[in-house]
Amino acid sequence: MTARYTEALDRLSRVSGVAGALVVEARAGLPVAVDVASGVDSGAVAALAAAMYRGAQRAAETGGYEGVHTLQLEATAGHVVVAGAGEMLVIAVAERDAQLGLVRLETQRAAESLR
Amino acid sequence: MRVAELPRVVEALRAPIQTFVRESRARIALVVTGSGQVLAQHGFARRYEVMNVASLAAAAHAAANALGRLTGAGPWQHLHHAGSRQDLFLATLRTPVEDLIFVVIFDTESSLGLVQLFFGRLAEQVAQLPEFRVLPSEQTTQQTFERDLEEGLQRVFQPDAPGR
Amino acid sequence: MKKPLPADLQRWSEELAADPRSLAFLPLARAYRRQNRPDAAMRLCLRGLEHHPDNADAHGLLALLYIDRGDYARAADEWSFVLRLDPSNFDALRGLGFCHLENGELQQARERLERASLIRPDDEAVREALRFVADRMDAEDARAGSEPWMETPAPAGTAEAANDIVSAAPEPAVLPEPDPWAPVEQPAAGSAPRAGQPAVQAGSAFAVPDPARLFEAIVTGPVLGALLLDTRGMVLAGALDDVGGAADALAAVLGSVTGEAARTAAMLGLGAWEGLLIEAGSAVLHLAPAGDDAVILLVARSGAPAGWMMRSAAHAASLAQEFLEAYA
Repeated sequence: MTARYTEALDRLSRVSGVAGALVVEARAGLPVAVDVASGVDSGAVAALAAAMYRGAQRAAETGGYEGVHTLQLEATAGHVVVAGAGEMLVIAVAERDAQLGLVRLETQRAAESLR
Repeated sequence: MRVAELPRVVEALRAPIQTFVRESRARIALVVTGSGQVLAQHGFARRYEVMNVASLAAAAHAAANALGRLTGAGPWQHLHHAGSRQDLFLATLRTPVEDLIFVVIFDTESSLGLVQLFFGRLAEQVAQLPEFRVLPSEQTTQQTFERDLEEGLQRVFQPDAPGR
Repeated sequence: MKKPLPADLQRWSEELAADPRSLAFLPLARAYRRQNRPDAAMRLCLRGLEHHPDNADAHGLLALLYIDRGDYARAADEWSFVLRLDPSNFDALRGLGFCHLENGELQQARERLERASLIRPDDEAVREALRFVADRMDAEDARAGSEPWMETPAPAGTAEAANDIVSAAPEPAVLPEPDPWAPVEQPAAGSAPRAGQPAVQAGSAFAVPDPARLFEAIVTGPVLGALLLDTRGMVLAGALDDVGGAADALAAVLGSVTGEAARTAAMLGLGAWEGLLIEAGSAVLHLAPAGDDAVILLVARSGAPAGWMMRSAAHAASLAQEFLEAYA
């Protein structure tokens, strides 16, 4: 099981500009598999990104838009991409200059592989 | 903890515990002594028999410590009870004076990850509180301190010489 | 500040006695203040400032001493001076914010406290004060009376929106529809303002726009609607017809989502949040801040090109800015 998660993160963490890639248990917001550069707090990423995703899910339900599959946070110094994979989430933390399209693609692919 | 220090400690814990409950979206958080006394609380207390929760938390803390010793696992960091409707989180809140017990009840509005994250921050904050600082070994009474202050002032404000 | 040892006090006072220009006046003055000896602290501070007039810490301490005396005006002067020396001094921003609050100067208080909260988002005193200011300002607005968004007449016909998102004006139908931001003639009673309705004059000489039509120009192609929300999750302008009456509920939930986004970005060291893209089964939602206290929500059909979303979001941002400057 763990090997499956680490394989899912392998390609994602190699994308240029990705500072961290995680598989997170969505309900608890705890990391299950982690591949992060030093300086990235995987516990904080997992908890905060999972909470944000949960909020987005609630918003989508309220609007009648069906479930959320991808969430992308843009900030002045970086990005966070979250893709849903059933009970898990795949999360990428990327630098500001990262190839965001590629980060999104690989995050979604990793999530696909876990569904 | 000395009885005389309690009001200051309770007051000092108020802001960090309020911040914790707000940020983590927990239902309620308590700080409890090893003997089951509630030092601080914040959140929706009416639903829970807080005194009983505190006593049982202290008992669980002691039992877990004993278990840790028996099994060689060492001091425990936190316990998590995943309930069907609500979760319970117990953790040791270490201070220079004594170890306290942090009790959190949370539901689906929060998560274990958030509770752990913000507990970590609360623990750092509490460790820095001056109310928990151990007095330096060179103890002095308040009167002695006053005398030193007065002498200091006299030293500094010697009759001002011209041009000083 | 931890309680100083007697040896510290002695050392500082000896240093200062030997050299009146010594900076030891500062910790010594703080120690006296902590020991409830404000007059001694004040003397030390003022004398130290004679030798170090540009010492921001000393001015900050003097401000606190004035506060201890209840002299808010002098305290504010000192903190203002600190900010000239150090524009991002948290204690001065916070202190000045509280001084403004004490004087009932809510707007100034808010500006200072918001700047302070950018430096230390977790400061509980600043957060409480900002909440207090917001509540007071709301209460004052309610007393002054909000600008009436007047009823509109029954629709003369359905306007067709232009296909090109760059051109703003919708095609006229049977009767020419006025620019939603231009004044018109006659107020009507009975019906609430709805998206697509012409704006109506409120009976005064000033233009009274229909806020529901703010983003009309960009609601085209895959874009289903857009809302301008405040950070509490209340709708300020725009319309989202596809969710019917759930727009308010959606806005309320998104108020908390944007809070999460801001918190996540800040706590992970990613700076200030700039946007949140939510891709759901049947729609794409984009959220972006509009100034300090508003958020723009753009909703498009699933599969909308991301580039078009970004472009529409940028256009929405400029419309929102004009609206907020004119009417907020």
